[in-house]
Amino acid sequence: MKLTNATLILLLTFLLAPTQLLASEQQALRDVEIGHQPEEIKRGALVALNLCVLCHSLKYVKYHNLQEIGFLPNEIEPFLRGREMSQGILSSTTHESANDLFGMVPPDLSLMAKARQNGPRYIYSLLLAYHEQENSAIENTLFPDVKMPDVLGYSVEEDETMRLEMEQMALDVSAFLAWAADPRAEERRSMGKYVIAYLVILTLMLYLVKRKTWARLG
Amino acid sequence: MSESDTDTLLPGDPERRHFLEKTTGVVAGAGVAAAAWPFISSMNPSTDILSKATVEIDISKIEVGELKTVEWQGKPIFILSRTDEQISSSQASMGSKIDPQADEERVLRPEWLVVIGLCTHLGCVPTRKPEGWFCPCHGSRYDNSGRVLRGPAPHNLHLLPYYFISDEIILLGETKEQI
Amino acid sequence: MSKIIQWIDQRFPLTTFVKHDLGEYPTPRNLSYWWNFGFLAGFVLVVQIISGIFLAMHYKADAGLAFDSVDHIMREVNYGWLIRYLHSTGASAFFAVIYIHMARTLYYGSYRAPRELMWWTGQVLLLMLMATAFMGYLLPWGQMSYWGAQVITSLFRATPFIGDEIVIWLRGDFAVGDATLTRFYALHYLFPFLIFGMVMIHLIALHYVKSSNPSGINLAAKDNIPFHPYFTVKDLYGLGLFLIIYCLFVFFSPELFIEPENNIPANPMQTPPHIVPEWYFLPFYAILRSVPDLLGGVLAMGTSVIIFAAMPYLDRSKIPGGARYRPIYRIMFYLFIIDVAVLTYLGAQPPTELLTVVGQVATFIYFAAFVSLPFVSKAEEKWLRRRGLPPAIEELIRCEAQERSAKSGK
Ligand code: FES
Repeated sequence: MKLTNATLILLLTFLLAPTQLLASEQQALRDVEIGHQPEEIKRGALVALNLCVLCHSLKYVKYHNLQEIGFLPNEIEPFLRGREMSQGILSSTTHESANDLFGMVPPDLSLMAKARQNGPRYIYSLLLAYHEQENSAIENTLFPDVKMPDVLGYSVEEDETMRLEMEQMALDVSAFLAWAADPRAEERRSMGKYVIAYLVILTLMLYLVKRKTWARLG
Repeated sequence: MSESDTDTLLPGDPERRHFLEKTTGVVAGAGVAAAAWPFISSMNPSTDILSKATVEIDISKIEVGELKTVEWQGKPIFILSRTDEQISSSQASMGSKIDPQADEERVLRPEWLVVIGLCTHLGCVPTRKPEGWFCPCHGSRYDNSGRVLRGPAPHNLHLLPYYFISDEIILLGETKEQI
Repeated sequence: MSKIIQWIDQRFPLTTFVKHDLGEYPTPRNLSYWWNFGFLAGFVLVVQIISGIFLAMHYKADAGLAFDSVDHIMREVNYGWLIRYLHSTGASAFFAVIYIHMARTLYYGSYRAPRELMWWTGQVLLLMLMATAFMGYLLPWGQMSYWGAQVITSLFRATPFIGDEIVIWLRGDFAVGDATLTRFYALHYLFPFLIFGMVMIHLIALHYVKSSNPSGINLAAKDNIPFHPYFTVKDLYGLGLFLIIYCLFVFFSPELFIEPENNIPANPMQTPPHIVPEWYFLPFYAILRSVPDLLGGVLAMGTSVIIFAAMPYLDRSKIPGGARYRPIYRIMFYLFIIDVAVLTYLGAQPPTELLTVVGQVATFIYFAAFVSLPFVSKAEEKWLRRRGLPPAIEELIRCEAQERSAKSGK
């Protein structure tokens, strides 16, 4: 079974190579557990709809999808601004005015949590990475070139409870964006458990049949 | 060595000894069947299509006696604003004996006939005639209640769920819960 | 029922085929689990074809719609996420299984006469698989898809004289664009069926020369057992183990095989900071980067894939059983595997001065393994004979020689 060792080495390298590579870019992220609970996601959705959506769109998330995270139709209505329930969430700023303001169109957020390594944690860290410099300019230490201003006002807030509240907001938004990028994740994981359980049983049975069949050969 | 050799070689009832193989076969078969379901299901309408399952139609502009054809779930829907004469003649009969039905069962308000505009024979769109509809494909005829008068169509024009949001607007695709 | 089968049998060798090639097909009794991977590869091919066909029912091969249609599959199509993850994970599974299948062939010397054609049809299958995977990777039309295709099609610039024309011809545009996407889609749909046909040829060859086995030569008839039920059930058990691993990835870590960048729609105006190919191309990509010359790099990369085909001629030892009875060959095998692992690692790293040198050394070792094999294998055989072979192996060599002369005598 020497071949086993070789294959193991090979497989491990294949699996570790990409993770290794990306690990080097991960130093700056805050260590935090992003929630999966419906309440957190819904709270995050409200922050996103009131704040993020001023500039960003979430075009792959349809308004009616918000019902999946516990919104009632009449709770969604105020955010529609003349659009249909079956349409994607668009930003309140037009592309032109955003372009005038920031020199670029703010990126769509639907898939943001999947478009960065460790996306939800990245978003959380980014939102809280604003610091006031000596010349009182505000800089983002995680992504210095970011065009987005410190929307939460975290860099200048001194009150500790307010800061904690902002951290909670960032956490909720990250939970919401994680859901927005992968709304079927819960379904996938719960289905996965049954699939794996079934396969383990079946494989065990196949093993027994195999052993029994080969036993005939003596 | 074949099956029968081993059967005679080994002690015990061959039926019982094959129990393990058979159960494994059944479990595996069930798994294959279950695995087929996501694929079959993926061919059904996706959620975005289902969410567009209802449409609101403004009927205030339709003149009395006029037929408006609108699209709902990709199908043509006939919305006919019936004249008093059409109403009374429709109410007077039960259609033909192919598929007899009272007019009251086919409308929410007598002035408005709302039916799916596809011939129940093989799905052509019937053309409007003063006395009802005529299907150009194989010659079926329907009256002003959408009831089949002459075959080959086997049924009356199908109904669909709808309700009046107001006197001007109807919603296709959903029936109103009791008011 | 038996009447129907009888009717068919008079016109088509149905029963004979099932009996001969599926039921009683004589298979060496001593096959280890390493011989399961051919069957697994066939299984993954079927999974890819089925999931691919269902994806194609929802996918739109249009530069303006492709990304959205994939998102539509992921969010709105019933179980679309499952089918897509089966397919994207299946690509990796396919390569994993094929690479292990190849490693087994190399380790046990299964490529030796009379199985050269099996090895070569397998080689063609690998090339077709690579082409299919590469074209399929463009279809989601994300950033990594786009720039991967841009870079790889650019490799054809190395063609002498008409390089630029070839690249434009391949793309149907001056850069990768809608035309490229549409043709990649057409071919990505076609290739699996060509692969399927090639697999049939692979199998016909197999059933003619019969399976190799750990001892390296055809066993006398008494050591062969019927394929059914012994190997059907062994293959199925192996399949169960495979499915557990595969489904763990599909359900719990499917994004591992999709670069984060690929969740950003293709943007021809901006290259991602770091382009990495899929893991299964990394060793070859590292070889490409190790040669500081376009044409040289492309040639080195192409050769590194195709050179396997020469194995039946490079290995000049008469001792059967591959690495099993040959200590030097075994050491070479492991060194080669480690070298490939190093290249894989390097392929994923951003190039630095140090890593480039390491890559060049690894590339050198990669080719040196093949080039030195004829001499090493000859010398090894001499040394082993001088030391005295165990009688069992002498016996194997005699059997093999006999068998060969009997075959050519026929
Ligand atoms: S489809 Fe209308 S009569 Fe045949």
